[in-house]
Amino acid sequence: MSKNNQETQPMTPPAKAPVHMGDRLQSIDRRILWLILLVVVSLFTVFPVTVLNATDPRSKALWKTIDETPKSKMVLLSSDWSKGTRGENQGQFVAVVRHLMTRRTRFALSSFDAPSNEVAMTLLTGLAREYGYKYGTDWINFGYQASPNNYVKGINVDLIATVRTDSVEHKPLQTFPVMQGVKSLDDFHIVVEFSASAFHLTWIQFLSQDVKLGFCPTSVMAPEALAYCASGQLVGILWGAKGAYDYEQLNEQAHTGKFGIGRRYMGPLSAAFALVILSITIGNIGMFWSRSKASEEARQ
Amino acid sequence: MKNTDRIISMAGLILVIPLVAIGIAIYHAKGEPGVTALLGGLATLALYSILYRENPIYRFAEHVFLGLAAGYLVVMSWVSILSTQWYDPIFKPETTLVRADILKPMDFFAKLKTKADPLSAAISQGLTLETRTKLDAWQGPDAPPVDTQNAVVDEINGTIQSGPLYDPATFQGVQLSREIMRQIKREPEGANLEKLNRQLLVAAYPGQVDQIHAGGRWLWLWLVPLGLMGYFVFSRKHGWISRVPLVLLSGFVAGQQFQAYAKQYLPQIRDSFKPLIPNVHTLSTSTPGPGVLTISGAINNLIFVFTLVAVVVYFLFAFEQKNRVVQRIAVSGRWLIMIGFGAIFGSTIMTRFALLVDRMYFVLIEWLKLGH
Repeated sequence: MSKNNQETQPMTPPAKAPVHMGDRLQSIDRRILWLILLVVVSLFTVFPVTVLNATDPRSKALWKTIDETPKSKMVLLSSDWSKGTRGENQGQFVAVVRHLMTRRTRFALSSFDAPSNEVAMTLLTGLAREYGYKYGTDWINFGYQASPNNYVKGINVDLIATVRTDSVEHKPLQTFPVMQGVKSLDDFHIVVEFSASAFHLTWIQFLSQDVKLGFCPTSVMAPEALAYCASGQLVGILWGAKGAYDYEQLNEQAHTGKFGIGRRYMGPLSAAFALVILSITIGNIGMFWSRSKASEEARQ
Repeated sequence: MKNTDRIISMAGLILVIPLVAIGIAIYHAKGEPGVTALLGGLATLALYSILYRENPIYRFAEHVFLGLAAGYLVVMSWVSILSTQWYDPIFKPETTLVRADILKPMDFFAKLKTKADPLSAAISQGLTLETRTKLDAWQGPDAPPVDTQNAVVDEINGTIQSGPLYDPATFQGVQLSREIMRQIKREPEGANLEKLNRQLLVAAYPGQVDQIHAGGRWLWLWLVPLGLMGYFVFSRKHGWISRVPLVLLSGFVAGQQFQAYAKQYLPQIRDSFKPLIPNVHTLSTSTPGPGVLTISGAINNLIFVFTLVAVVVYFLFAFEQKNRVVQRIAVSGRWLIMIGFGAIFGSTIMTRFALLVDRMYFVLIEWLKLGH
């Protein structure tokens, strides 16, 4: 360091002005906030609490439509979610499958996303064991379908020729008892799309007029789908984790299923929301406090 | 690299050794699910360490995840797409019978109808009553109706796929090659059993049931040069070739989009015409139904229609919005869009938190078993 510089430097550092509490409240270290969030969520996960729930009319509409499936018709589950959105889609999927299996409704599974089909198969295998559902007799897997538009257009007219074989035993569809009398999508009562993406649009665009459509998206996808529900293009929506809880509650009331992770997740989720609201409130208090102090200083 | 990073890296590497030991112990105690849960739990903690700050453990976990995802994608592309939907239809032997495989329908179906030999009798007895009645109703002199042929062929396929067809008594008098006899002794399962059953049918009905062919959808081979054309995008001179598959695809998709747009948007437009005058003069009703519009319903419709008009006005760029009323409506439209975006953002937060809750559930309950 040069001599000149040494001369220009002050001999003692300036006294640090005390930071106002309002400013502190606005700039809490994000790591502290993460830690608090982690602790709160962990506590409510290990010690679950039951959060009261008012069922959404859109969840109710979907449940009712599935519940009204005639014995002669099947339900098609289109599963397009994988581990990345397990927190929301798994609860929905399991609740709907429990409903179908309790009612002994025949159903088929297909996916527009390859890993999603494997995830759904793992869950279905466990649930089928629990409910005594036999593959090929009570349910079937059409597997991964690489071209969504062409798949939907094809099964509208001729399901057997479009899908040809199932994806588990690789046998022609017509050889399975569950497929007896099933020729096209008209033999299905409803298609239920479980997705973290906008695959409901494929069904809306190409699905046969006579088949109903339900949508089980993640919360981030749900608002975009509301317009289709209002216009009747979707019979109902399960809105993320809340939708899963709704469906479980409806199942429980009608004895067509039981509570699962839908209700379990609602406690920590509500606690996390409360923490966010509290943090926003504290930040705003800090902001107004700082502002009032600044205006006071300006007046002086 | 900072000293602290070096320390964290070293600690991470040292930790790997006991973790591997723990992993082996868990594998012996709880099998594969235990190891999967262990790896999942550790990967979750490693990835969440980014919340403290960027660090080598996080980076390691991130790179492992990306590498696994890329590798998984390659395998899945072959297993789920290329193999089943492209390679097999071209090259895989087709064991399933189709009507065209019955080369002499008159002879074949007559044998089944009259149960001319033990195998025909066994196949005939395996048919459902409905199909059997159809076959019995056939009198000739022409071949059976197409739907009868299809029904019989479908049910024979069921027999081919359901289990071993060979039975010494049933195949008495049928000349079987040494290769077929060798296959029978091996007691094959799955696809090999289906192939054997089909070979037995060919041997039992010589000249009447066709040989097994490869998938034979050779036209699909054209997808290879078509796909490769896309790579000409890297050539300045021949770049135009890459546009050929794109043009073809655009042509296919354009046709579909007419239907897609009509089915997606026409109901939306129809639904935007909403009544504004209530026909039930109460705030709400306990018996809502089609055609019933309460005061609250009318208010809802009014808000909807105003929002629709205001947002459309905001996006009208065909003329300059000088009129004060138009300006005010456009500003309202902008506010309403922002309110909508706010609601969507709230939902986004809900998704992210649900994913966090799920991860914590996995770590605390499924992995560490800290609760039920």
